[in-house]
Amino acid sequence: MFNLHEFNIHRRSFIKTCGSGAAITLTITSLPSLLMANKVQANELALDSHSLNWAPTPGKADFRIDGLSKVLGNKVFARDFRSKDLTRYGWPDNTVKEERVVYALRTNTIESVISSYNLDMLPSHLQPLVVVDATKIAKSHIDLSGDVSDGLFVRLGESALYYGQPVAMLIFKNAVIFRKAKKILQFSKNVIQYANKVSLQESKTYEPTYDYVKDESVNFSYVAKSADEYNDNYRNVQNDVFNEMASKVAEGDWKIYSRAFETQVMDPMFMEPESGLAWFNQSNNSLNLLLGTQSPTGDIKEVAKLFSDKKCAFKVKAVDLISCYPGGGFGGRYKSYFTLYLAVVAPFADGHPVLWHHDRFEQFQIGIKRHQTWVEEAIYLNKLGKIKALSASFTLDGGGRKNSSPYVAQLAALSSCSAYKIPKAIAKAQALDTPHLIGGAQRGFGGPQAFLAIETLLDEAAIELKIDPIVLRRNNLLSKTDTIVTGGPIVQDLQLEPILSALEKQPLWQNRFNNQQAYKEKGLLYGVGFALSNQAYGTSGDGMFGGISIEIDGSITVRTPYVDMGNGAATALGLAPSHFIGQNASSIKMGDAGYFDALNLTQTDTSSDKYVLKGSGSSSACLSAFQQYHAVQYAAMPLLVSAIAPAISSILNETITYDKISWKDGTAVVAGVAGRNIPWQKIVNAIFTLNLPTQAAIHATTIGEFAHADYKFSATKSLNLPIDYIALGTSEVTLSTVPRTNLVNPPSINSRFGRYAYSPCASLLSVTVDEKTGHVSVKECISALSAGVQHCPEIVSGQSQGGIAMAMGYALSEDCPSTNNGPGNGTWNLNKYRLMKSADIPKQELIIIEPAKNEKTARGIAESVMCPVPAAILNAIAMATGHRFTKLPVTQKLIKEALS
Amino acid sequence: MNDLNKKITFHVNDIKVEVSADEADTALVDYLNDDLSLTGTKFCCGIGECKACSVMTSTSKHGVKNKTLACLTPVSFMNEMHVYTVESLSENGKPNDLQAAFLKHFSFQCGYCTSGFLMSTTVLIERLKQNPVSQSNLDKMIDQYVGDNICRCTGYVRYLDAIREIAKPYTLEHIS
Repeated sequence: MFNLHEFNIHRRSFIKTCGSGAAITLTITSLPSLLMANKVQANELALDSHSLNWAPTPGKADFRIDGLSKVLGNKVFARDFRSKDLTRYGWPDNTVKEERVVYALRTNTIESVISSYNLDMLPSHLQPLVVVDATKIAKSHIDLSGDVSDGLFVRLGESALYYGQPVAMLIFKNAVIFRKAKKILQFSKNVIQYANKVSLQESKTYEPTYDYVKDESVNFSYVAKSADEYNDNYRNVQNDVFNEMASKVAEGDWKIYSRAFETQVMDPMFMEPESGLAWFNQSNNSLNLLLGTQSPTGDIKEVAKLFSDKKCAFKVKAVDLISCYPGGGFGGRYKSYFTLYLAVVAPFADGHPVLWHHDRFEQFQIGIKRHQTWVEEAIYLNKLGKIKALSASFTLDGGGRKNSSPYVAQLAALSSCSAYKIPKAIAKAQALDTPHLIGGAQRGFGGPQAFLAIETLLDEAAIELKIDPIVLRRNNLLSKTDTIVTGGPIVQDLQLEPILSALEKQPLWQNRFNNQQAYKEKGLLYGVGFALSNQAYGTSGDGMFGGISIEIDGSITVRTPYVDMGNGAATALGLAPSHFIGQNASSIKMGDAGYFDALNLTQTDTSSDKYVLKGSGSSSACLSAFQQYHAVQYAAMPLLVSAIAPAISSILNETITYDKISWKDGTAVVAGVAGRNIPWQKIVNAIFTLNLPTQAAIHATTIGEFAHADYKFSATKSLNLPIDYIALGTSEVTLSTVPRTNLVNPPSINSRFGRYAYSPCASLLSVTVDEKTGHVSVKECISALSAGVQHCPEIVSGQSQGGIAMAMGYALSEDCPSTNNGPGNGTWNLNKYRLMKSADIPKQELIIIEPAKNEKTARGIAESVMCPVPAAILNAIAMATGHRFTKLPVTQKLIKEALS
Repeated sequence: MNDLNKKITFHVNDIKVEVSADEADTALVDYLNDDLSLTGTKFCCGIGECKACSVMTSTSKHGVKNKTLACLTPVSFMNEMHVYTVESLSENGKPNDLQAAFLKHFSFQCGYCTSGFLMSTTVLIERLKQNPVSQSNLDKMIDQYVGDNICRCTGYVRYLDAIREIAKPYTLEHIS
């Protein structure tokens, strides 16, 4: 008899129909999935922690689920793999099809026309086998009309659209030849010939731009009005608010505190330079990729688009992406262009696999950065220190590719009022199209720039008004009846008062003036700074997938389309099944996007039982604790109802419903059945014997509240769950949709909120400043964080510690100038870019505020923990030096100049 | 056979390897990664700043082990030397005490810099075994051996917690 539970290697794919009508099959597989499907022993290319249990206690991690592989030095990252590692998965043997190596020939200036390039300096045995440039791409009818593929190569006779734009990609015979050739080419001034200088065009603006205007006195805001009403009237209301600001200041009712801020380009400096493998299999026209990306689904769709022209020289029928753990991300691998270049060059290698590794020079030159940002901000306070109004304008240098820049600018504007009740607010945001370094999603996504502005202005106001800075903030805190700059409501307890109280009582704050005196006697300037942030987690609306499968040996596998960049998502999600089924995952398949894409959910056909309001988003670190965790947690519920409860019923020979089952130490406890606890393996055996579902894949949507629906599981009443799609099956190929009725999506007005979930964080921080050298030393940092229910406290505190170090670099040392002397010229590395080292790190403490009343979920904190720190540093420096810096980084040189 | 054709011979994790003279200037990290498939040694900056590529080297199997940056070191420099990589630390997939401490303390996040921290700390422990220091000087020693290793994710705190725990038994106070 055919056993549905027999091992099955089917890999789920989805189809992309391109503009030409051509259909391309897309498959995304996580590396663990691939290894498990091919029965690779865990210790061979170990990615699972079977040999050492990472979480023996349900709901608690003893170490990271990905920890063992990483600490043993196993192959985990894209850079670890060569094509010879993949022969068992069908890639060609190196002795038959030698692995080629790719190198990008990049422009190092934006100010001159490229007249030609030549490789004459390479001896014949080091010449590339193939050169792919704009001409070859055009002749091959590669489609460059996609969102991110325009401007792939510089055309001769034109200037580069941005620093590092390639002139050509070179394919070398093998690694040995590549290494020798690269040494000759990389810093040669004779490879690319530049002709006459070009005058740089005036910057254009990437669409969309944002204008938020709120005036509570006339009930006007983005949320309070319809889209048409808002668009028709916001300029008039804005003018009225500006006029009122001017008159109130003129009359002496309000005081204005206004400054222009400038923050620098910052490199994410994730440790693994972008790397990957590609192979165009000419026998079946499949393009195979191995990458560490934060956006596997988006990337693979863009790749498919490249080959969608009917006249394309390469008839790509399928794209198969293997998703690896990225060696750090921070947003820099989200919509990165690395994937596209690797994909576009692979078919030119005549059936050979190609390897492409950025080095650090290239990563600095072309990797996605945090934007240079100009902020003009004014806050208006009455004599009692109440904030009455704010105006803020954020301009981000997006660089030569649009990427996520407008949306980063948007979040800066949305964050402009931070955690404060401000009745009248104007916030504008735009991202500029320039030939500079490319900006995109980075940890904080515009938030750090916004909090820097308001928190330093508030500090300045407090001191001038002679109000304690924490007291002034307390007098202006957002409450549950208030709104953000869009007019969107506060739908959760922000815990702002407990955060302020936790830090206000610290000796670091209470004794700051005495300590300042003590340091003065030692010849050092000393200051303590405070800052509060109200960083959102999630976007304006989030869709999310989660999957769980039960294996015959009782192990649990979690599946998720998201990627763990090191933020701990894999570990948190591995704990999620314990909530409903009492077991932690034994393994997790991160980046397993294809599994979920194959469900073919729709956001357009509202009549379909596969309709969901929001598609799945990116692998942002701030989405894992709440949104992604919810999806995995609720993937266990259908299994509890339709597999575990029937299995227990069978074992006990009486009907047991899911709500009678609880868990103790991994064993099922059945209410009303004293002394008859059921071991997990016994339940699993019954599930498999009875051919009950062992796999569940679900989708959820949240915009301020979760979409919910009734689901009819066999032999049960309908169950209302906060998820909008469920599929159940006995294997991934038998997954089928569970009937859904009464779907209730969040109200449409919620889509106009902008953001809906926050994890406020404040930092109290001391610095010393050496007047002679200008050196700033951060001595101590105490942060207080609203984190909700922590999944793994060690990971939360680790995020805070990393966030503080990164924020210190942002405030004090890291800088990528957007000039010919900056990283765009291809000569930058860590010798020119100063990161914090362990000796720079202050004594620190993280205070986690107890979860709010009835709060049972975690908040996304990976970005929040960094957000208040730069402003706290500037406020501390202001106390120490008496000088308010408004430009980052505050270098020793700037300090010395200010003190001279 | 002239010297130009002579092979470079050394040991990697106690296994003898030979490299052709033509490859003499290949960076050790590339040789380990590409030729031996020992990808636990990581390339990050390539100019010796970040220390992610740290390995241990010695002139003999039981000789004094030093920290060597595999990105800056050509294989020719390894002739007749012994090289130890992260893959040498564990036995049959079982982490050693330092690796276990990194796990227990949640020391790393993305993990790309971890092998560099492991190898740098292993050299530190070797030194402490030979020349123990007082507990009050331990942090200074840690900074000397591991302080230049860069980690972007963690802020170093949990690495240092684990390293202190492992190094503490080798301080003068504990030995006596």
